[in-house]
Amino acid sequence: MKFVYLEDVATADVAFKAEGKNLNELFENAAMATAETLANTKTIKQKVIKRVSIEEEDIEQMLYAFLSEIVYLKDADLLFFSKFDVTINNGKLVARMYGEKVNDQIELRTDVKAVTMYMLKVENKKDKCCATVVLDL
Amino acid sequence: MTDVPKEIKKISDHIWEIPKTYKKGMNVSARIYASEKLLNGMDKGVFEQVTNVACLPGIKKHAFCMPDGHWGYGFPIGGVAAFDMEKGVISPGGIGFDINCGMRLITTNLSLKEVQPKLKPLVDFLFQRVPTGVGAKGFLRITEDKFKDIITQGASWCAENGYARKEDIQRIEEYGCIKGADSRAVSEKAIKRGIKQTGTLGSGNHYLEIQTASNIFRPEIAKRFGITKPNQIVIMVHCGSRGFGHQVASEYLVTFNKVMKDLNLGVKDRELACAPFKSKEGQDYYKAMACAANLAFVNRQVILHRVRECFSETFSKDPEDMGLDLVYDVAHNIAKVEKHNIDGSKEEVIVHRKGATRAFGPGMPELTKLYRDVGQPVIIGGSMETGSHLLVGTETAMNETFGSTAHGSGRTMSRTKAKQMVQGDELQRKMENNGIYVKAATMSGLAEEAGLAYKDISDVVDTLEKSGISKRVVALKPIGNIKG
Repeated sequence: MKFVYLEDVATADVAFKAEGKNLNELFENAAMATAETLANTKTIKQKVIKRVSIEEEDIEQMLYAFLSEIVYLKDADLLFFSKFDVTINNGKLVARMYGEKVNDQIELRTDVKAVTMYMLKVENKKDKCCATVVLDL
Repeated sequence: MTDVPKEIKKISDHIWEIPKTYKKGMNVSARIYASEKLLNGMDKGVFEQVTNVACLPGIKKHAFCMPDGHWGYGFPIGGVAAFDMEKGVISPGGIGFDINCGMRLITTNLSLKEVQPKLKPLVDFLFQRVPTGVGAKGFLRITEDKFKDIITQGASWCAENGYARKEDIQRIEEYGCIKGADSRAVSEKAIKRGIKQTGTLGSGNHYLEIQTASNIFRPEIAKRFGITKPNQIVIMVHCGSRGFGHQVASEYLVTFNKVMKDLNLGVKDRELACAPFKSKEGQDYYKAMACAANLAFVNRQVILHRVRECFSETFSKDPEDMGLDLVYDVAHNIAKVEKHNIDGSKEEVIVHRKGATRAFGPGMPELTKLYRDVGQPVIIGGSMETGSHLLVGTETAMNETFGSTAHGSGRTMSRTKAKQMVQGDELQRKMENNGIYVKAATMSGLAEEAGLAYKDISDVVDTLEKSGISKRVVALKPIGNIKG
């Protein structure tokens, strides 16, 4: 499982649980869950690469900041993404995000106002990492 | 099965109190305005969250929840709380991510008979001219400096730049400008995120609706608000500060969580992070929130300008000849410094309303002279299938709830569940058969907003009327809707 949307966590909004075999994969899958909420990622071509780097000791705050970046770029640069490469090392995240500017070919879904801190949790275990995230729509 | 705590006490048929003893740390009791039926239907988040709010420093009288209350982030939706200016706090969770999300109502002198034949082209035209949904761009092309002017001046900028009639400004809460807005408290990112979006509706439950006056309850007051006859056409707009406000809220949530950690304030819920109102962080957030609130007033005003253009082209008449007068614009996600009677004397407090509307009664000096003798118009939006209401603020609201009332009907079903139960295209056809023509950015988005996902608005409005915190003026029925 990469991610699954959770029922009845946030009535008016969207909640998901993402997994990965390590933190990098977890962050990539959480990013995909966020991107899928905004648009059908199968319809987004990978024409633009956007680099993002975040320094943050707290892993939950790092996830909040990273997903907030996807939400930010959707409005500031009208960019939508369908692939993410994430590397996390010693409190530093570097990500390459692949996507394109909004156009008629992209099947848009719903707007996300913000990533919330409600129930925001990252579990970092030896063989599996998982996170729950709630997005405010 | 109900989630109502057993400690709850009945104060009257429509007021319920959770005592201070319910939870450790409560500074005041919590009061919920609801009929027994609405109370029993409330989710347990409401009781948990309204009592969390009651624990915040400097809270006055009670933590309130309105009849449309449901679980939110930090405060419940429908939450109202006032805090001491010196000892109290400000909390982004008491305002919401969509700062100054609000409602606006516009009257016309057109009848249903006149509009019906042109309804479809009119709705199609509005859908084309008022951008909706994710990824939409507004039509205002502005520089960063101009954007900074807009967020500090609010709606008066629209009047100076040809997007408002002079009299529109009189009919906006706080005359469309929250004082104290300072663009220096706003990040570059927030500006970049919002600069292209002025004049866009957004997504989710935001909409622009053509409605008819279906039932006039208080004709004298309705007349003052510009509604004189049954089936008169009005327009309702529901939207907020778009990405700009969302970014302000997201960034200050991080700041406030750090402040909470530094001040060693135990955090019950990260979404309920707060800072002393008079602290640097508290003041910075207030200045930034005021900027976002002003942008939302501008956003709704620019949309009204577009509405006037669309009506004018569709009916080949001057907008003035069709009325298209603003009745009022109210914020329902905001914090404001207001004067209220507390324990017999007037006191300045910082009132938070989250999914709650100001409902000032007659005689309040803050109200425009136009409505000062009758009270403030209150606009309550229902689901797109069930209709909406125009009410008026009351003295009871002034005495009991810091001049506050409900804001809408409140969701009861998740978006995912609504989509499983309803197909967007089927709903569109069903609505059309019921006389409502709807255009939506996406069919799945439409399904999420189906009437069955919301509380019955008539129960909410009935509670407001019976508890006296607002009075019914006109019931409004949708005939055309565009949504994001």
